[in-house]
Amino acid sequence: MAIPRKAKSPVEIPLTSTSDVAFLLLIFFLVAASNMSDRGVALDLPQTNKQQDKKESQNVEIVLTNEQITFMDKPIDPSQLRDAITTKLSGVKEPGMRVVILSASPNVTYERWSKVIDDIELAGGIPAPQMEEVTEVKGNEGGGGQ
Amino acid sequence: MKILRANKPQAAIPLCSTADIAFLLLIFFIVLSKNANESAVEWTPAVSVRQLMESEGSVVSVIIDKDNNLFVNGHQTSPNDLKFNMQSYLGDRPPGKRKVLLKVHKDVPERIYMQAIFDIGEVGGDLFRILDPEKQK
Repeated sequence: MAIPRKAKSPVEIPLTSTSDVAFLLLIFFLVAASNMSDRGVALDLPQTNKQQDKKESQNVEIVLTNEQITFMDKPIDPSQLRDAITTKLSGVKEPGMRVVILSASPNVTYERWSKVIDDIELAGGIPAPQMEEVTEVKGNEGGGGQ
Repeated sequence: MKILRANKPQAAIPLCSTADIAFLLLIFFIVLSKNANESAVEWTPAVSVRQLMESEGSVVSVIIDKDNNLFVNGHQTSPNDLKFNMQSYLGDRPPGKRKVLLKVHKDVPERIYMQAIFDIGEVGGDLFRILDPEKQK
């Protein structure tokens, strides 16, 4: 004869307030995300082009394309750029003489350009970005992606 | 003789928490509208090896997204109107209080971001580039 068993009472987590909790969490993370501040670095822009032109022949010049970096008319490896600028600017104390003119080709990505700006500043130079036509050089002599 | 009917159970929706829900919805939409300005713009910051600083007290935020679209304080603008829009936000603020945050997607080409940088310079903005710290290898 089958022995009748007691029906088990269902064990359930009360889920009534789950949506309320989820909604509160959503608001919490929205507020927390809006309070996150951006981080970055300042870049001093040259005030006029006149001053740049006058000192152009004396300043350090870098030409940047997607294929290579040219430092004082010579191709240079990106990893050696900072040291080369540091060496070039060693002993130069006048701020005006520490200006490094950076010309980039129209297709250079922001990240690549930004890294060169970082190298200039870390080497103690004052970057002066120039807007001019720089022709892309085919091939990869002495350069390479940074 | 009248036949007595059983009382029907009342099917009323409990309205006790309606005010709470309304209040939460209000907060939600306030927060959402505050964030709607820039959160929709897709851009990935460039990586920097430098020591990054917190940006405080900015007036204008210029974003160039992955499709080379320009946004000033979350509103899309054309490259020709960038200077005018920035100037309208900067007004007559003195130097040092004209901070412009520049947020550029890492793959944007020079012809786009350089024009924006020069425009920031021309309106007398204090340029602050938003970057990502380099991850430890």
